[in-house]
Amino acid sequence: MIFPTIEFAAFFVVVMATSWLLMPRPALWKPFILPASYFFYGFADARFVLLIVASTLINQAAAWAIHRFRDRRILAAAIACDLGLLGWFKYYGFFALSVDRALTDAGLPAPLPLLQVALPIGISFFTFQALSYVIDVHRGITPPAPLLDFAVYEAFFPHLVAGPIVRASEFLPQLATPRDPARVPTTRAAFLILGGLIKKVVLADVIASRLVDPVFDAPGQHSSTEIGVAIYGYAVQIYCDFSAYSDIAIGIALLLGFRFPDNFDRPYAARSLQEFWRRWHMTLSRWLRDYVYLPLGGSRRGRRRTHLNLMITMTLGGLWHGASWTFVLWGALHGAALVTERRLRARRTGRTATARPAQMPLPRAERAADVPAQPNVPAIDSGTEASSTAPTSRAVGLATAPAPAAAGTAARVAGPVRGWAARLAVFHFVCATWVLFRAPDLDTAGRLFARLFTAGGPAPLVTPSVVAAIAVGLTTAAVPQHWWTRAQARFTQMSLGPQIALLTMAMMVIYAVVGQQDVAPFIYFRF
Amino acid sequence: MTERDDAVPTGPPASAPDPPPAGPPPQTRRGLRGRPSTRDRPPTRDRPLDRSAGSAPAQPSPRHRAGSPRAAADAVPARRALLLVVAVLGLLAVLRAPAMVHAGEGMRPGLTRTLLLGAARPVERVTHLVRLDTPDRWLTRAFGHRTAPHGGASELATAASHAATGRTGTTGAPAAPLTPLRRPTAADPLRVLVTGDSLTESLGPTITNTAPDTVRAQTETRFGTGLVRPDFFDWAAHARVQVAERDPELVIVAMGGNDGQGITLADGTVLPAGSAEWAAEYQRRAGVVMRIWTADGARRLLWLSLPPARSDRLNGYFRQLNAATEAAAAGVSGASYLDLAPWLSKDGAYSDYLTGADGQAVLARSHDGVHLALDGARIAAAHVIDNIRSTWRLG
Repeated sequence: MIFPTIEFAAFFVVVMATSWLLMPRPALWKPFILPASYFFYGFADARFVLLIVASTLINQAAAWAIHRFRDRRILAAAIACDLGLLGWFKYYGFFALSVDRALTDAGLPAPLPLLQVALPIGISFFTFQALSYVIDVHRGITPPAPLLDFAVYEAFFPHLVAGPIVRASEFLPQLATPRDPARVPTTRAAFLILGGLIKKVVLADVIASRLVDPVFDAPGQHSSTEIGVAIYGYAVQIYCDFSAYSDIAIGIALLLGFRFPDNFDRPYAARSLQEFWRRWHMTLSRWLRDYVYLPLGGSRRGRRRTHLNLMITMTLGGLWHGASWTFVLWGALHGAALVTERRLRARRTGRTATARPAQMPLPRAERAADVPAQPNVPAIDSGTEASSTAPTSRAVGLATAPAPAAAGTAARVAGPVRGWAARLAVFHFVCATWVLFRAPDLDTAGRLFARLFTAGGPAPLVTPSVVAAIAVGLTTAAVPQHWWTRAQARFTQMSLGPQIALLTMAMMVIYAVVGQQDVAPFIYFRF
Repeated sequence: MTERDDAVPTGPPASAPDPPPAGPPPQTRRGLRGRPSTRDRPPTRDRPLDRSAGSAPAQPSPRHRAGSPRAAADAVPARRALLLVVAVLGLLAVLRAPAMVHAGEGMRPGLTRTLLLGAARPVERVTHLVRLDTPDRWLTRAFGHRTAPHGGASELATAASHAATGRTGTTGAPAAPLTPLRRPTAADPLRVLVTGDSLTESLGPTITNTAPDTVRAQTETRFGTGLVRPDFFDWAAHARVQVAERDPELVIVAMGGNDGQGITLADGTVLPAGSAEWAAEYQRRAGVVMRIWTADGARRLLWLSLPPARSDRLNGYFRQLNAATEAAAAGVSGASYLDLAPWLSKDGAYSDYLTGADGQAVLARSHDGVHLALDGARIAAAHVIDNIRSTWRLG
């Protein structure tokens, strides 16, 4: 089931009403929301519900065993199980075909049968959540939860299909007590859902169908101008598409009384690639940091090892997105660019990177928030073992939240001109690498880059409406914060009738923009 | 200010969740009415909710950040939130009833479709009577979209029906002489339109990318469509639009993936999928739409066979549909049928993996066992282009 459909609307009305009715009685609410989430998941293909049930049982058993016996081998077995499931369903075909080709080239018989394994939707997301749970239990960050709680955490439908990747330590405490039925943040939920629909239906789908899809499908028939604008268009499309899903998921969870972490924070405003990755798909970034990069040693084992760790982390991050060499190369390029950026920064400051304490600068939003300082919490020093063994969400959050001085090195050293130059450079690097993300294969990506500079001619697909959609998508990052605040405040002050009228009218306009055209699936569904 | 050393991509600090329960959970039993007693709820528990602002409390984004009195004012009782959601969705269901019917018509037969159409069709009739669909129609036109006539019958069904009863019409026109083929050049390439259902999604661009420069192919994919459901999408009407707007010399059609379902005739008769009457009606409809595309020989049409499907049941339907379209093409001037099964199967049977042009195994089919993966589309495209080369005598 996907969000902007009639089926989901009907499902959600029933679930929301029943959920709040049962909310005061967790003994009833949990047994209700779990099958409701399984229904949501199994609506298209019920077979895969068994998979998520199996994942839940395996990881829960592992968590309790880890908690009781404190044996790393149990953790290793649980991780192997999770990665085995993910590997089988998501990567077996890619792996077997690659081996087949390599051996055929060498004149050897292929040892692996070529099978097409069905890809259960959302498997990457719920597997990562399950992994974070067992690892956090092993680290002593999260105690093992009751089976029902863990099952709800893994399958809770708003985040089940495409994230955000919510941590056990963020979600399980919310199950400890009923959500407050007197305080449902409706305005914020409405803005998130409506904004998500606009980004998805009006911006992403329009840019995709009118420019990006035709150009990426047949680059040989399009001019340099069309290809160039389509590359910018895809950058906007993928941001609008994925952040829309996240926003809608967060808004729906809010309407049920639950809070999810943010997933995006104006990524194209980043002044460094490092900053970009703190603003893009944030819940995946922090997962990779805490469960891949830091266990590999982070930046504590010397410069070369740090660079290697970055490359490994980013390449695996690329592979997470799909079983294809284009994703692997995409991740490796980002890893290499992060390494380069790090070296340049070290050279500029005249100090080696490892000599400095590793304190994370706050995302812009975090700095702006009036979060009270936590003077007793030390900064995370990547050179200490503690940072790899206990990278809890809370510890990291507390360590970074109060750092008022971490207001962005780029702003300090750069000045406005250099800051904008850095923004443009990062944005263009990201756009260029998105080509690999979107192109079906490396040949097509190569053809796009070649024609970007060599194909003259008219650009009939670059229409004013497409350019406007791209511009709007980019400038959403520049909307002053107080505009949102003021708009939300005004909406909150309205009585129920005008609120209903306004939201209904807005939805009608959104769907009128696209006409009788089905909403395209969200890009991140296939990951 | 301290520069962060860990250059790994990192998200912002994760949220600080609710603190663990300090005592027995507040057992508010008011459900939707909300307003639990504040005595029951430790003040610390409320704080994160206030601060959450649509996200984790410790990392509010600019748009959703609260932590202020305004945030508290935003929070409303669950009953009011539910009322808002139900009212908005209910109003949309009434004001956009035609869209709801359209969405239902596009669904596969089943309980969901039956329930949705069972509710939406009466609503649509009433809203049309009292003109409640006017605002949506007006908005649709304001954004440049065509609005479907209410209750109009499709030429696809009516012309096929005339053909079945022996009355002449589009279907029954005598075969006209073929327009002679010209010699396309790079300067004036052959205008090709690849169109149909989602089967064309990978095939069309692959044909475009692998065709010689004497061929310029465009693709128009209409997802979830076919010939059995003109109430959902009318291919006869759309074929006329395509011909008028694009003026193709050759139309390549791949369609039928969604047509493994019964056909409902204008008089309400249902022809079950797989029956002989169903196959005959499909052949008539294919003939109608082929004649529109070819304009009785003025243009050429190449109808591609459906590739074998993984599902035996679907594969059976596909065989019948292939036989129907092959027979229809034989009776339409300018139309021909290309059977791709020899190249898209292993000895006539479905296979996920096939042998590519370089002799290596390739993943030819997508997960659903119906569509072509990129390498499968390449295999098909190569033979389509061979057909074009031989027909137009291209170098």
